[in-house]
Amino acid sequence: MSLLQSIKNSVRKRSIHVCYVNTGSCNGCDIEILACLSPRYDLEQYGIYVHNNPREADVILVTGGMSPQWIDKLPDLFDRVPEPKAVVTIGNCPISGCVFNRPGCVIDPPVSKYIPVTAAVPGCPPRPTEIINAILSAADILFKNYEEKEAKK
Amino acid sequence: MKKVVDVSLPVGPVHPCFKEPLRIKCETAGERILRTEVELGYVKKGIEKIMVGRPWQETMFLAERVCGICSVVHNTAIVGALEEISGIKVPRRAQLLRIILNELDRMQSHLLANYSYCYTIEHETLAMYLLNLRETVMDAIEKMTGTRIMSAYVVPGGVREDVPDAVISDILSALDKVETELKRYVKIFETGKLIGLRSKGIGILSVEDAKASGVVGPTARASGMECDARANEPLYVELGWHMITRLEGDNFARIMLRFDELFQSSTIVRNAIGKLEAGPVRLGGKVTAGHVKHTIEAPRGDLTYDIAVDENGEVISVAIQTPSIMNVEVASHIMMKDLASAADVTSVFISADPCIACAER
Amino acid sequence: MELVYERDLRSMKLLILKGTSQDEAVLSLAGRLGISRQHMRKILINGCDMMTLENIVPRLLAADKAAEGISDVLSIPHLTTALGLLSDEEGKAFISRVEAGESVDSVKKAIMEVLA
Repeated sequence: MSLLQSIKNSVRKRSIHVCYVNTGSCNGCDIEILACLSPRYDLEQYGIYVHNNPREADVILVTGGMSPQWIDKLPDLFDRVPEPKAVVTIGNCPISGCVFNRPGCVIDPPVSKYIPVTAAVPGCPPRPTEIINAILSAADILFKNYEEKEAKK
Repeated sequence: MKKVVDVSLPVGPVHPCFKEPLRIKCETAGERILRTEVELGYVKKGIEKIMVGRPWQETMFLAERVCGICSVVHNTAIVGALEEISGIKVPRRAQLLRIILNELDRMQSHLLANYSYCYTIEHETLAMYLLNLRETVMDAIEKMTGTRIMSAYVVPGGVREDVPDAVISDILSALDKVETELKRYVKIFETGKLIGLRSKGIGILSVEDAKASGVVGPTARASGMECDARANEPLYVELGWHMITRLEGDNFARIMLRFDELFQSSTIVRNAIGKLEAGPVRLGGKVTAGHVKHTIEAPRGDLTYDIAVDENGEVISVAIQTPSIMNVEVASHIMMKDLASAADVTSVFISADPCIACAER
Repeated sequence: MELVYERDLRSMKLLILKGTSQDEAVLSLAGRLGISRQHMRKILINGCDMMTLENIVPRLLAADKAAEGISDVLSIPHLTTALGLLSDEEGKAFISRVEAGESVDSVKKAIMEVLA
């Protein structure tokens, strides 16, 4: 591992910027992500910052089962996120559509049909601690030695 | 849309201040907002369509997932509507437990709304205080029902399970903490000079406009309209509920009204706990066919379930009128009209406590 | 990369109008104006934004309360304050035309021409 790579690793470990995108959820998962911000869970002690701006994000949290407006906009939003990037889906909706995936609905799950998904946190809704755990473990695997892994490809 | 303006300024769908996606297209002349147009469809799921033709045991859980913030009240509303159709009796202890849970839910929803407003006007310290206080209320809800959100605690004929005395004392100590801490935060909000500059006299909703658009809940009460579905429930009046109104109708009045209601909800929970007597919490009943329009007070206003069921218990038709439909519409069309600065668009919008998931279903 | 900002919202607006309570409101307004449901839907989709369509039921109820006399016959409060399809001045102009002695039917026809 080069010196530059080890500096990059240690910086990235403490600075994960998160953007959450509600693609048709019921709000429950979004509020659990917000609850992570509270001093009780203190998301920022792990170096995770919720900015909600795709252009400076490292991790996108997707909640919801793809409503019609998002079908072209979500891949577009994914393109704007700078490399390295990861997508973590929160809740059951992005995986299966949860209770909404019934005849007559307008959503079209799963999210992985439209953008590559790194990790999924099931639950309706998952607890804040599970969300933090998922972001940390996914980011650790994906961002460590990113440049060296890219060069080998 | 006729284009007669300088710039059409889009806000959203992904915006740092919005919890949920929607797009507001503001027509501006310089900094002044002339009129706005709202683009929805980002969280449309078609819940009303899914509900039709399903047994109501299933729709109970579907109704809960209309909104993740006020899931308890949707559960209570649809169960209340089905009880009204079939004439199912609810024991008194269960009624009181329902009120305790609903008021705790209202407290966490109001705390979240005020957190969002403080976060939007960039008073992050107060915002984090309020969000942390919300966790105390969420703990009380979790101890009572077993989960933070989507608890399905209210079932036809009563509540799912009884609450032991240890949990009751936990709820009381949580209320103690909320009341002592909240007094300090209200003082911070009330006397903050910069908060006043960003809030007072901004986003004014007059009584005439409020009546023309059918706005409900804290947004209407902050404009001086007396509208609260709890007035029709004798048990609430017995527990010390009274109408709180304010006359200014600006952002500051809406947030302060929510703070006042937080103290009132806390008192109602205390009174309800004082009146708890031992007894059954769940009785049976038989489903009959019928059609009913059931209205209860959600944290954001009047929530109406217009539901028809056949004799097998299958839903024939359902129309859910959530309070956010009216409040979001008013916030985006009337409060934002002639706003002096484009910077106030987000704070005015958040002050009405919008919930897009409710508004689109 | 293609920018997709403005897209055709007509199908989503129709989805909103197909909701149970919204459909009833559209039917009653169409009955007031004496036109078909499809025609009413077309006018609403072209003239209103999505949030107004969601909120059509309480707004029309408030307009029902405000309407009286000639404005009730012409459904002026429904078209001006409730839905914003006509401006307030246009609404007042139509009312004064009836007060000046013009027949209600011809003014109604004029309103429909403005809407279409």
